[in-house]
Amino acid sequence: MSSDRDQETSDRSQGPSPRQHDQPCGQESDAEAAGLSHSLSHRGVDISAFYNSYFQAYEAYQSSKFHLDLNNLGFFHLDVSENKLCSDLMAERLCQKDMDDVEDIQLQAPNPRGHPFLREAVAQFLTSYCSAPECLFSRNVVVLNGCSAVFSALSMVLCDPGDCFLVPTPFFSGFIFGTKMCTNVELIPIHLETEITDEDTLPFQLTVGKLEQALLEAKTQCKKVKGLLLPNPQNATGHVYSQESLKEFLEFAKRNDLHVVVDEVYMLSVFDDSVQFHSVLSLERLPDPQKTYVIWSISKDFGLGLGALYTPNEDVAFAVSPFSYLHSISGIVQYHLRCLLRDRDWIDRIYLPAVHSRLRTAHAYVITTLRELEVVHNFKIFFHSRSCGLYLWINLKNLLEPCTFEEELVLYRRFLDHKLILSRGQSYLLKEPGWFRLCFAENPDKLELAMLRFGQAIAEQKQYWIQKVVQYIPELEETDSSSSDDN
Amino acid sequence: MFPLPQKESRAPATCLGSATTQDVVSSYQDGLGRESPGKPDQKLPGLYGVGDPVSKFSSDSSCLSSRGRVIKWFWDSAEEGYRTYHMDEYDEVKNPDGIINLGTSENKLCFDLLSRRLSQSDMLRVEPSLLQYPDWRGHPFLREEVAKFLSYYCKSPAPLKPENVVVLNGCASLFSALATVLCEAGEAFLIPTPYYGAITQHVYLYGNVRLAYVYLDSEVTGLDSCPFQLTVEKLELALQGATSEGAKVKGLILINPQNPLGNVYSPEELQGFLGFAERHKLHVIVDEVYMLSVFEESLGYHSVLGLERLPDPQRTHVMWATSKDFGMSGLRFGTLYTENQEVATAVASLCRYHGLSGLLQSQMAQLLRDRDWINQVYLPENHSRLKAAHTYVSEELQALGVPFLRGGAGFFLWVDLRKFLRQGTFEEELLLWRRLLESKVLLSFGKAFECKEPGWFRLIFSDKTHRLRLGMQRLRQVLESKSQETEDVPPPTTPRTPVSSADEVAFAWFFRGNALLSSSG
Repeated sequence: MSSDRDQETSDRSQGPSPRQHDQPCGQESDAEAAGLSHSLSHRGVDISAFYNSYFQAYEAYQSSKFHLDLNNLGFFHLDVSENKLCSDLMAERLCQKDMDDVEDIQLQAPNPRGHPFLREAVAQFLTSYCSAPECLFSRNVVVLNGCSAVFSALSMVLCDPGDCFLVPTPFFSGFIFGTKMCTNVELIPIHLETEITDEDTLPFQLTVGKLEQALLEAKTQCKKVKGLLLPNPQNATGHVYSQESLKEFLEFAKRNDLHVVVDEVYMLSVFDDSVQFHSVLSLERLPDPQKTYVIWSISKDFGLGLGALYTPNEDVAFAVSPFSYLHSISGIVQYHLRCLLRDRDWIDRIYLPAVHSRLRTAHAYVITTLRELEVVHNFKIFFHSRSCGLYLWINLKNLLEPCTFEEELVLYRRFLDHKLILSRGQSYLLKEPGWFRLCFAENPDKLELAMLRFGQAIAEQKQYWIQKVVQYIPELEETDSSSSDDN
Repeated sequence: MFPLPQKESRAPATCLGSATTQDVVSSYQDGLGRESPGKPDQKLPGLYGVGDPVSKFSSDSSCLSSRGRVIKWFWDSAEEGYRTYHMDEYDEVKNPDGIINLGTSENKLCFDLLSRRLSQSDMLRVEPSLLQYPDWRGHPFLREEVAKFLSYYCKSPAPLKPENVVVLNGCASLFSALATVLCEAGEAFLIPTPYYGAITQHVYLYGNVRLAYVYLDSEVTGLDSCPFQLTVEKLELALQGATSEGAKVKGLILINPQNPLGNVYSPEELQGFLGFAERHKLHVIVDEVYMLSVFEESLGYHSVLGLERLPDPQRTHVMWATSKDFGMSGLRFGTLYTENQEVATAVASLCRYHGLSGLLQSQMAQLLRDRDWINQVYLPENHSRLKAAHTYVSEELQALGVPFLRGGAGFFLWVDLRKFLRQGTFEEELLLWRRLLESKVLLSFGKAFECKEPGWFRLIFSDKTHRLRLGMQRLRQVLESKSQETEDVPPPTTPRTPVSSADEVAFAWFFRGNALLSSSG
């Protein structure tokens, strides 16, 4: 990769312009800024522009991955996060005999909500793994080709153009792309982070108080908030909510007549056996079942494109059906998925234990490496990672001088120079600079190489930081009017 | 806030409070007999109309947003027949009294060939890298195969380029994506009727784009040489008319081979239509999904991509999918070919919502690459079975005295049941359709294709003989009893739409070049 291209990549990875940050739905179209297209509508131009600016780094990865050994410790939110750790097991399972059958039903035009055989398998799967008190019904399941598609469809039927959803940070600002471009729904961030003061500070903690505050602020700005998107487990720290906490959040939503879309896509990625995951579907009673929707995705866990919606609201399940057709899953893939989901034996005895064990190992390795780097370079990295999920948010504010988003970008580019793509906090709408996200769900040898490069980047950054600090010292002394200057 | 055109936040036209779905359906029925906005039944010259997909919507109370309720209603009324069918599907062993589906356009004749091919070992290889997130435009290996495939079968004058190819999960998604990137909300595409009705939904759901109809008549007059003939003159008039009603027309949709008529356009006609579009700077979306299903060789099919020169290549976008030609609508694989890189990129940007698994991409590439199997095994057998089924159903219809368009491409016959209606209204058409459904045979009624004249139905013949036989038997029973009733009932007071002589309509067809008039099937 030429240095020009690196530069290009990092410039565009800077993320959206300030205008786009403040106003998720821009006042003027990019067409006016960029010059009219002769072919595309204004929204067509906006779609291309938005996509390009948000997904540049991903595209760079795609175009270079085969011949440059570009290591990735970070991915974008939702659909693009991958668990590469067990692709081998999955590939092996997909080659087994039962996957060979190609029956007519797979080739035929499907029931728009997804083949009944798959919806049944999903209902049974969720009943079991979510510990639902009663059997879940397949008629309340709709399958689409990914969780972004599910949220997109829900936005279309639950919201009118211009309505809003509250979403806790960090969440990938590229997610705004889909909701704005296709469904015209505004996502309002609920800023969760607290200032890092010491090791014990729990960042990104969701409380009912923060929900109330965010809703109030939105209302004072005359925003029409229709719902809340709630990731469970918590997507930054992997914190697993207790049933009581979940109930509190759902009660808040009910009090305020909000829809609650619970994103449980990382449900199976709890790799610490001592931690118990609680799905909202495990609650004895939902405060407002007609406004509760659970999204589950197999893409993270199994590497195949499936987004499942479960909701007791049959009206909504029905209304989502036409979108299921646009975001359809191939009949053959539906069949494979059914086979997989029904093979409890393979999931429980082979796949999940392997996934959890590999995640544990990878997670531990990364933590250890980070601790070592702290010692070697004598600085503190803040992170708070529970035993769930595919990534780790770390705060490198102690290597930023001054601690600003500009310096965060400098560090981001330094990682890119070392052929690492990490996600940075500003792209996830965090207010405090210095946050970076590492995806550790990578194969051991690649992970080792990646952490080696990470260490090199940190070493460089430390030197750069020292120079910056030293630079300031004479300036500080100059402002002290009385001291003499020996330089 | 994102600037919203006024039309987007339209509230439903009427609000009947807490109407149930049944009430919505009956209000739809009521609406059929009288004029509604956008239907120029009483406007002369009746050559065009601007669609308002939700003009008959009435609200009900639910958790859905206004937009959600409209979508739900739309879906409900569009899919009623198929829902009924799915609850009572015919199965010769498990449910012999179930509904025979002659309404869904699917080729059920070649599942045996396809399953066999898809079960071969080259299709079953799964590499881990295929499970990881692919390039959103589609894997390069697949796009190369698509380019080669289309070059060959469309007989393009020069090899087509992979960079002009985008793949995603079906033509429905392509219509949706193209509507979104080519039009602003509320704008329109011109489309000749009758047309495959689901397109209305595909461009409306996300795109909020409407359709401006170019109404075609069954009556053969003047320069027309066959029923429902599209001409440049009609396009010009329709464009003028739609524009005068305030529609902003951005493009033209052509379906070639035509669904539901089963005809094909000649190269001269295609050049004419593309020229028209070029003059008015319209995009042309050409849906060639039945390209390889032309079983009547003498029709002489020509793809737009096979023309020597396109009048406006930057505004010509061609789509194709495996769903019809390879009888696998369940597999969900569609392609777009366009020389316009801006359009290709914008559509590709939306591909993450309409993506294909790596596995499926690999399989499709294998399939498209297997020229030998396609040319020596699949196509000859497929065409022969289609022809046989077409012949069988044609003979049955002739025996019944039912006029129909002969067709020769696709899986359907466009059938004239006007004489079986007590009155020439869409209400009567729907009643006949329901009667057929109650008698356990599902057809598609003409209104779903925005046909101007009540009484036309689309009948699918691409099914196994035993199902066709049973379906035709049930159709016969209903039509014979309807004939009896029509004799018993006094003549209708509403003048019926003029019908050409039964002979002319029954045996008229779309033959290009050496046209022959035949009187037998």
